[in-house]
Amino acid sequence: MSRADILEAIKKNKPQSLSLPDLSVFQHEISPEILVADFIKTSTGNMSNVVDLTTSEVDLSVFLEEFIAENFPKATKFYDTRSSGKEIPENVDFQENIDLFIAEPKLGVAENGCLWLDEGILKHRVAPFACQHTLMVIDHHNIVPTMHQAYQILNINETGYGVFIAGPSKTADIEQSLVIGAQGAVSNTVILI
Amino acid sequence: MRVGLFIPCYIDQFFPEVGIATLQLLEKQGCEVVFPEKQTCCGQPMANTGMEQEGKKIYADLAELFSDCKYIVGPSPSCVNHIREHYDIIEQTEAIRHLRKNAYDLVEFLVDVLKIDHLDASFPYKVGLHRSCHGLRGMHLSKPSELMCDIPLKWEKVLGLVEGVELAKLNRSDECCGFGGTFAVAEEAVSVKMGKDRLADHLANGVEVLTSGDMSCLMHLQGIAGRQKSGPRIVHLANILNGDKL
Amino acid sequence: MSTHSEKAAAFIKDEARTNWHDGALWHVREKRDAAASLLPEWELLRNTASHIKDNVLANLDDYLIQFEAEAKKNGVVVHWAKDGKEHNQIVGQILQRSNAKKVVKSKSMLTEECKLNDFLEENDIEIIDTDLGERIIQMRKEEPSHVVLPAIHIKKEEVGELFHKELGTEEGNSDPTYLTKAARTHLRQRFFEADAAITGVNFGIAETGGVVVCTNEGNADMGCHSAAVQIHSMGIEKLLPKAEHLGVFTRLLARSATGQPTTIYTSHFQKPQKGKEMHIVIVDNGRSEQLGKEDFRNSLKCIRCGACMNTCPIYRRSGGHSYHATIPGPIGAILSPNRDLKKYSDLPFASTLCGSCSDVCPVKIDIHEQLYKWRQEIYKHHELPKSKSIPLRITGKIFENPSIFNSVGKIARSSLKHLPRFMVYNNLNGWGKQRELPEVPEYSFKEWYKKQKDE
Repeated sequence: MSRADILEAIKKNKPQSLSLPDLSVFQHEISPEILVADFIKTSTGNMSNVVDLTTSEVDLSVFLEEFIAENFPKATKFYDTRSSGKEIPENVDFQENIDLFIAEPKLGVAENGCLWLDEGILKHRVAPFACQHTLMVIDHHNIVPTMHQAYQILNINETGYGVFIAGPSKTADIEQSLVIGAQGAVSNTVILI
Repeated sequence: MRVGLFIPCYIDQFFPEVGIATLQLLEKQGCEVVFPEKQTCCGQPMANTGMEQEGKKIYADLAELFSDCKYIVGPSPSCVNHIREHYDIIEQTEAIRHLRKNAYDLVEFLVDVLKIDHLDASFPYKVGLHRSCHGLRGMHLSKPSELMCDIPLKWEKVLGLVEGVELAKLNRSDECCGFGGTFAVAEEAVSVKMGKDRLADHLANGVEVLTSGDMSCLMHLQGIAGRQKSGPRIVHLANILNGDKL
Repeated sequence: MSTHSEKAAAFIKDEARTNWHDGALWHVREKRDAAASLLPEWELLRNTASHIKDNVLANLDDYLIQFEAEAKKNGVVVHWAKDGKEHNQIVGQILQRSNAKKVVKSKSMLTEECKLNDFLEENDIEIIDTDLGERIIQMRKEEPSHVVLPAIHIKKEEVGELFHKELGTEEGNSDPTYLTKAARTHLRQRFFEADAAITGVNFGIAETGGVVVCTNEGNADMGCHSAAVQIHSMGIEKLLPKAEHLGVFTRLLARSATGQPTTIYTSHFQKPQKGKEMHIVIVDNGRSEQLGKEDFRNSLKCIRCGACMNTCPIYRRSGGHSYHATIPGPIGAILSPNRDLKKYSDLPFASTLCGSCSDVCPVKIDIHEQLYKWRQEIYKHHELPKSKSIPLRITGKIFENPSIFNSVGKIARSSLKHLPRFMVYNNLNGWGKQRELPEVPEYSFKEWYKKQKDE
């Protein structure tokens, strides 16, 4: 049986054990202002559209309604995972273009613009990939400096699936020319509150 | 300070002026230089081709020749690096340990042991420095562009002590020239292409004189420049530091 | 089969194209430098990653057992394959049981290594590579020439022609945006039709039994979430002990690979979707044997970022296909001889040992030192061509004897000076084909030294 053979061969051939290194050296103390500035910079670098409402007094739901009407005027089909959104049906046909995916990620990462979504938020795993555009609303208090802090806070095993999304789908497979919207969403908007 | 002069085989045979400059430079710095005349080679040509076992006698003989020198200094980071890194396959006698511990490249010796801060030399040219790989990545005589830490710039430091040297900025500061010992012949096409590209970078940046601590890289680049009938003048670092004129 | 040096010479014949290839990859290397330089802890991260992998290799059997147990708890079916053949059979059986006829695959060097596509096609299963670069080379019936940028050797005009033929795009249109959109439409259809999806694995987590897959296009997710069956093929060395270790590796991977701060999607697959199947195939294929070779086991730390290819001055000028192996470049040149020393005995010599590969490696594999050590192994196993070993054995004998060295040197210098040019510069002399020999001096250093000492 291959399982036993493989494990036996490893046992025979493996080197002497070394202890795991200390990861606490990667703690970062960063002021909230710099965190937000870094997050905006990296998200923009990943070709996300970022709207900074952290110092704004506007009512979010009013703002979003206007923002969507203005920026996605032709959108008719929505996949809104927010509690304020409409109930998502069990069966969704993702082959029919869904215009806009909306979610509130649990956590953002300043060093690279990553936003965490898991099955607790996503009813259908494919939704943020199959929808044409994604819109993420993230509370700036939930932004951490690096991936180290992200993995400390998150329990990736809490649900069956989780994903960091850092921008719209992209590729550079043809002569290293950057093309946005390869296979997943063709745009990603981040609303920072 | 008794310093044993180590002159690599191809410098002995083809570039005696590099050996002479090294000897004179060390003597000017007050070193008592001895040259064991029975030396031949560090054994790298065989080892890099996979035949290090055939070089064991060469390693041992070389160590024996220098056993009574406090330091062993040669104008070739590549050979010195080979002695340090790859003389681990033979019995680590006292002579071998002494050689591996006290063998220095010329520039490294000037900076780390003699700690020079003055040179009586002038060289009024725009100089392109070829940061040869074994000196750069093997011995850290300068900072490899891909490493994200501080490493003292020893080559640049000694060139800075020569009056009139203008150090050229290159598009690729430390790409390999393509010599690589027997690679130069076994992979002739890539080797020559790499060398052509290095020369073109130096020329595009207005280099008048191309220099390096390793004569083997320079021999390769000079060979290509000679065939192309174009290229900068090529001079070993030892000659510039010794104040030799073009 | 021709060797690396022959294939490289053929590649370089088109010098403009060589310059283009070299420039494209150098640009990626520069982006990597820029990204790495933004992190003051970069070198510490590399050290830490290397140490984590040391621990993984030393406890690999225990971590695999733990991984399997956790994955099973999650409802995942775990399979073990000792080689590529068994891997393909396992995948074939999974597909057969679920009656899957159409399969989409995201990028996986492991399935390339196992030649999975050929196997499935022989068994009448349609397999579509969905990473854009992979799709291009699949249509061209080629192998990837780079682990991260599989179609880096192909020009956009060639893609335009290919897509015109295969996807019906406008003739003569080679605009990357236009072509990418056409591929998007083509592939979306394939995702929704697929019965099963296959991915590689970037990291497996022993603590949770889950796998992590990183892409920029989102194609792994499009496939896995659309199909009823998802299969992840994972080499045994891909494990990390705990989820927290992902922090170190996700920070290094994309920065090393393309200079991005992260891949756009970092997907953590833990459990199957409701009513669907999730399989993980754990593959050895020579890895456990490699683990036993002290000088070479570090190569198992590789996370397939491709940084060593982008920095390698030989790879950039000879193209990935010149390595005639699944994994090209410096890392391929130390992995391949482990699999077949005779077939790949040329690869460790396709290097000047410049060491840049080791410097960029995010897990600090001593690549150039391993290249040196493979050369010694190749000589020991009599795989060094006689054209190299005989002259060097003679050279070695000359170096052993100082007086012979001196007289041979004198004769050589004298002949170089006096022989007619055509005898020195001809096609038999690799040095002299495109290079001059050094000018012959009047005297050797030793002769000069003796003379001035006597005076």
